[in-house]
Amino acid sequence: MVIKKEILFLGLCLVILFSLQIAIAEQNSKIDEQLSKQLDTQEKVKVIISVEENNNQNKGFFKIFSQGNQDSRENIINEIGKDKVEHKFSSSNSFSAELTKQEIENLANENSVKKIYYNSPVHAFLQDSVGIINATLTWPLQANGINLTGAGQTICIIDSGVNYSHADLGGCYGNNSANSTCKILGGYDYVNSDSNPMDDFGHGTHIAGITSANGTIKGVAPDSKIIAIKGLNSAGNGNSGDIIAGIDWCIDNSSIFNISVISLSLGTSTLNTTYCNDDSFAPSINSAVSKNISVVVSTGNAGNWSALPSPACVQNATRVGATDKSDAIASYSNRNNLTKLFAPGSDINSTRFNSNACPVGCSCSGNYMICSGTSMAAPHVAGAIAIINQLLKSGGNTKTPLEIETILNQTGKPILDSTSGLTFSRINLYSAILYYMTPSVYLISPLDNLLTNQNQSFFCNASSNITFKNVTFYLWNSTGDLINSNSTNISGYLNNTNVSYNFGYDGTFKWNCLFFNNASSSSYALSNFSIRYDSTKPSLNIISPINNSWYNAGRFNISLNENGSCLYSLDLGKNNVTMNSSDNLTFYNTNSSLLQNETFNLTYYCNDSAGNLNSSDSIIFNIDLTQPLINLISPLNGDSSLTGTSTVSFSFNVSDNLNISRCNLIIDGVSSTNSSAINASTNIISASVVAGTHIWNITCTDEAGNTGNSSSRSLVINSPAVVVSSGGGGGGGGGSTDNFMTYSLTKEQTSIGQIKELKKLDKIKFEIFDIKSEQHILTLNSIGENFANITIQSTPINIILGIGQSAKFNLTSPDFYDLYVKLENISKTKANITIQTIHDPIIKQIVIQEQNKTLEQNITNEQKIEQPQVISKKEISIILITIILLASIIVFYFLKTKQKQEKIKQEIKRLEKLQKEKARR
Amino acid sequence: MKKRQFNVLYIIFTILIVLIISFLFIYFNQQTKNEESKNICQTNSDCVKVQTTCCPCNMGGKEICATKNEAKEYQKKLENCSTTDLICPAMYGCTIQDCKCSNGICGEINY
Repeated sequence: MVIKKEILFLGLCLVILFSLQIAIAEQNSKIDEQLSKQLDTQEKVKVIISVEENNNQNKGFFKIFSQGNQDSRENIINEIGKDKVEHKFSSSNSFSAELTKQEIENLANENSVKKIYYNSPVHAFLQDSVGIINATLTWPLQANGINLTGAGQTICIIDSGVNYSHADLGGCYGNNSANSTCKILGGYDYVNSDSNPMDDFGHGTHIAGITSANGTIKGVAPDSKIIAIKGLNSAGNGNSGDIIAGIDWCIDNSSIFNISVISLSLGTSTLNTTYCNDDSFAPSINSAVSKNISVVVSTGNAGNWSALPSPACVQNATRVGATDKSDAIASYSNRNNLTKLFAPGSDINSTRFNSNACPVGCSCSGNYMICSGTSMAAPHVAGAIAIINQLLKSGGNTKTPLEIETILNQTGKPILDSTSGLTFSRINLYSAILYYMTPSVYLISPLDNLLTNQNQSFFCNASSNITFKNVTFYLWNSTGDLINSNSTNISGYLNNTNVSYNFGYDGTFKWNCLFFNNASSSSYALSNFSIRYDSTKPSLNIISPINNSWYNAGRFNISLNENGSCLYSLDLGKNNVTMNSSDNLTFYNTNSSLLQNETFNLTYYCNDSAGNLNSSDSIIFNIDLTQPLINLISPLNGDSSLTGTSTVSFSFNVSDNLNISRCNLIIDGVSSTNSSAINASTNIISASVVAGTHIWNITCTDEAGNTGNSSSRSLVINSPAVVVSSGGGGGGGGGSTDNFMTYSLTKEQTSIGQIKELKKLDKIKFEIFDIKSEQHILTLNSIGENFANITIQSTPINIILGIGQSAKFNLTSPDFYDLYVKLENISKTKANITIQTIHDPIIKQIVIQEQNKTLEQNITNEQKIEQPQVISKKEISIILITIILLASIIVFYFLKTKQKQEKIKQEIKRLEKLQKEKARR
Repeated sequence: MKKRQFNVLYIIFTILIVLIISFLFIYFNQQTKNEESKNICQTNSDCVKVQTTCCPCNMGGKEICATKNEAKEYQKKLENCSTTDLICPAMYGCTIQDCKCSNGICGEINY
């Protein structure tokens, strides 16, 4: 009995000892690892204390005991002090508080305390990030009556597996049955080579929650399904072979599970600045993309802004970088110009794989944890693509991964990365969905700004990713009042609509088509088309011909009050000619092939630009080609009876078969005076004529427009200002006895130009506007049949001019011509000469430069000749030295060789001697 | 007599047990002390950041503050990690800004 007692005592000692050990161990295990670290550096730490559930103890013997501790949480709270408690959680038997290290250690000794966690600072929740990309706005939208929540779409998550027992992830595993109601339809574990891809690291479960969670938290596509491929082990790493096998699994089973997107939140540690299409991942990714499966890959977290890891660098991958909740590029996110999409990646709250384990870097609480990285950004995009595919497929449409990526990029929020200077796009799912949901509408005809007929057909077409419901044609007048709307129920994804409308009045109208699809999304064409209805005929204004009038050709001229086109028709349509116009308002044509005395019946036909036709009344006109005949009466040809400026009466008579409409007096080629009072008898036109010799004639025009010319006559009006001097023939032996005249011209007269009739040896004295006021003399030396020999004196210049020829002289300056002389004509022994002062600059030829150039060329040529001589001397010297050196080397070598040969010979001789001696011995 | 004998036996047995337990306690305590002595730091410069997993902390891995001796041991272990074909999750977990020595233990200064 005593022995028993002793044994019992010893046993008790042992139990106490072991209990102590266990208690110490338990105390340590109750304190979360992360909390332990915090306790090393901080005096006070925020903690979450999890207390044992009372329900678990309410059984059998412990029932009585537990009743005494019915609210163990409250007891503990009382123990530590209520003022230290921050929150009491209703979902679990736990509370949060800020405690000292000693208080925490004391709590860890409490039996009722289950675990003490570090209360990590929390910045964002999945709900925030889902809201940031406006996924929450897309969920109420419907396609074919189903909300856009990713229903019917499956996302393949290749990661560390997924904890399918998590309530927010369906709580069950479909075991690779496509018909399963579980969210996690199936998958494969390449780490353990089985079909149970349970997560033992935590990363994959977090990713799955971001894409598809549907419970306490909601992912981007809460009704999407998941295929879980485990390629990362419990330590969180893996190899490319398992990941590639995972991609292939997803491709091979894509049609079974309707997989439209693969999410890869992983990568290597080596970075590439360009596409890595030779990478081992590339073939699988390309294969997936070729089947319109988007492969969404995170860009990694090295904070590099020029390079990406594999497989993000594979060209066909949809690369995703991370932003924070304030839409700034996350500093850790890799990105470069190949990165098109960004999504929230910092402090993302999502599903936790194990309530007793928390991955490094994450803050865990209950069944959720907050983690950061581009890992978290990629599944946001994967979820978004699942919803886009749901919408597209509901309309029987498919877009390539690149097209979807482009739209996500274009509809996203631009974010400037100040580090790289690049602007990236943070996805906005709602904008992308609206882009895809909105019908594309095009107005076909009548074209913008076109005139239309009364009964007009309007054509518009549209396409949509959602089946169409109806289309409404709208027509507004110029004041914006709706004058017609016509709705028609339609179906399908493409529609061509044709609506007819009868215009009741002229005016400008606008039209458009409004298409509605079954997602209640509607769209007009980008802008209204404007049209003009015009039923009014153009008004004609006939300018020519006038009814019952005479013309010497067909002169057709008409104008319209609006743009249009015209033709004239002769003799009731026998000859229809389209008329010319430069402005589509005035039209003209001339027909010179009409014959004498013909009478024509003309009608004009004109259309306005709307096609309204108007025609003129019949117009009769006649053709006369006969010119009036004119006979001059006085003054007689060569009359010189008048002196000084005089009023001269020019008399003539004219005859024609038609009335004469007007006659003109032409003096020296200039129409001087005209007269409309013309009769068949003598007509007189008076004109004032200045002194000089003049040529005159008369022209008359009849009412058909035919003009007749009279013969020309000369008229000499003597000038009272003429200075007559006797001419001498130059002295000496028998000079000429002919008298000559000298005309003196003032500077003003010379400047406006004067025509003078000179006979041989006549002179013109004239002055030019120069400083010297030097007087110059032009002398007509001789007159030939068709030339005149003229001398300009001051600095004597002698020239010969033919009829019509002219010459310029520089009498006062070498820089410009100051005198112009022209021989107008020659009549018998007199020459009509024009003399006028001018100021034309003289263009000098660059003779000096040419000379210099030649000189330079000569010098250059000489240098070219000399240079080879200098070089050749140098070269010769170098060549000679080289030859001497080479020769010396050769001689030296030769002598050396000879010396060697002699030595060898001597040695051979010595050996021979020795051999001989040996032989003798 | 029997009681005395029993008492002697009892005392001897108890002493024996106590000795064994003490010996074991001292032995294991000494071993722990030996282990710990390796991990004891004197100054902040004794402490360094060291990667303890194949993947770096910016790609799903873990880093801690440890003495240089400990760091060498971790680095040795990491030699077994694949350098050419290592795939890591793109989860960012770098929280240590610096390491400091506190009461002989290397602690973390977090961001």
